[in-house]
Amino acid sequence: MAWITNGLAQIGAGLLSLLAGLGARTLFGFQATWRLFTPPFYPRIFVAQVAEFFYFSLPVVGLTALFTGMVLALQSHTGFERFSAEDAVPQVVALSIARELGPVLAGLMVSGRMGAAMAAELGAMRVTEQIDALSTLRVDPMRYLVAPRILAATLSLPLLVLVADVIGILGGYAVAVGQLSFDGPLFISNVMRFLTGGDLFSGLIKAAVFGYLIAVMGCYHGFAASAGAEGVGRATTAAVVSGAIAILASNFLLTALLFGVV
Amino acid sequence: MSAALEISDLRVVLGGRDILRRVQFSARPGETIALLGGSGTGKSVTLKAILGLLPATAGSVRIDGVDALAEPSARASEARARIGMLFQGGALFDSLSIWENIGFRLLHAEGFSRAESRDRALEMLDAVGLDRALAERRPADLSGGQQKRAGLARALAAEPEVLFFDEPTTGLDPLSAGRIDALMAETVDRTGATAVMITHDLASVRRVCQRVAFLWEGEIGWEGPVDQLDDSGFEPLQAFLRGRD
Repeated sequence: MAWITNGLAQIGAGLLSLLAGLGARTLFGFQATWRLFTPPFYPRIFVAQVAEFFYFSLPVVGLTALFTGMVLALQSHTGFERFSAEDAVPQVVALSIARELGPVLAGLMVSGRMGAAMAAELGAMRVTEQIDALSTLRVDPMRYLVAPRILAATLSLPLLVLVADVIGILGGYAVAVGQLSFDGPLFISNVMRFLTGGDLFSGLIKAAVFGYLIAVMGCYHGFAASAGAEGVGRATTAAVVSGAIAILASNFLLTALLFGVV
Repeated sequence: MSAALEISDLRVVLGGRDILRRVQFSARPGETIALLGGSGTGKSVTLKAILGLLPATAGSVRIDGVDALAEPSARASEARARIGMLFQGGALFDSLSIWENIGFRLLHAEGFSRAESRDRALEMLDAVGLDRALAERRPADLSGGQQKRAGLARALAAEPEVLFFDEPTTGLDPLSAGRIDALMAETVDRTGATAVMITHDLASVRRVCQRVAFLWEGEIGWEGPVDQLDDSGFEPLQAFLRGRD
């Protein structure tokens, strides 16, 4: 009997720890978000973070979208060929990129790049007492460090996803026209005909939520870093992992919400 | 300008453990007091609790009678504004230039313009004996001693009345440590600030401080003038001195 009660106790402790962690991240996000609406604001930091999130993430997100679009055209063509539905390739590429793959893959790539960078930078600031120094200089660290990053991430990721959508569809176009003998104008016309504003908009809404989550996770783990270089390394890993999980979990909820699946 | 500092019944519990049980000491206006204690006795915790960086379970930190740890209020905020802090490693912001570090509080919390903050930062570089040519450099370009000086300049830029020094000479060679000591003593003398120094460096204590508070088992075990340090009669302090001197 003891092993059963011990096992249940461990499961309970793990669940409580999970909920406490979730609660701490949620509270951190709320505290930072509240500061977006009350002065003082730090526009210089916001602009620098937009450059980091958008401009410097463009190459990695663009390449990801390009190859995803190319693979999607190949794979969908292979599948549809079996029941003579090859004509649907443009629609499938466009819808998949705009609704799902664009925001999710861009989110995951940016989580790996910027979530890690934020956790490492803020973690290093934590262990070298720079965050404490901000407080003693009468500047709120949440307001100065976290709020501009959250705003920059929330606004930048939709822009990145918009670019990724275009590049991804172009990747599909290149394969379809160059390798699968599709008619170019027909591909474009099918994409324009089937892709609605709602498809694009839902992807952008997802991207904004993912950007917010990436910044909250990166900043939270950076702020919670401890124990020197090892602690910063752990914070960086935790930021990437929890950012990716948050993106995938929220993607399901958002898809259900936006497309009325449940 | 100077202010009286009074720490009363400060208690800090971390992870269910009493780190500080009942810390109390005071410093008269213009006085420099050293907070001594072995490793792990809670010196840094005391400092962080005084600065409000760690939550104190109980106690007060009064600056001229106003509790800086009281519930958020204009008076408590004003009391905290009178504090300046030199961190152990300098804690300069890596992404900012030296002048932006020194003028940080002026620019972001005191309503100075960038030009005014820069002018004041250059004056502070002079005051701590650093070349103005360093103003545009990044902290990583400076030596450890120069970073400490820049950190001191940052702490002094807003003319605080109470100064805290956290291990100011740790990691410095004896020559640089002596220079930092002389600079701290001169600064406190010139500004009239009340100062608290946390350190393991007894030579530094004897050069800079007038009084000592010795932290032992979560309380101040002994408090007295520096010249009575060797005759305290408090065995843990004597053991600490034998191990250190």
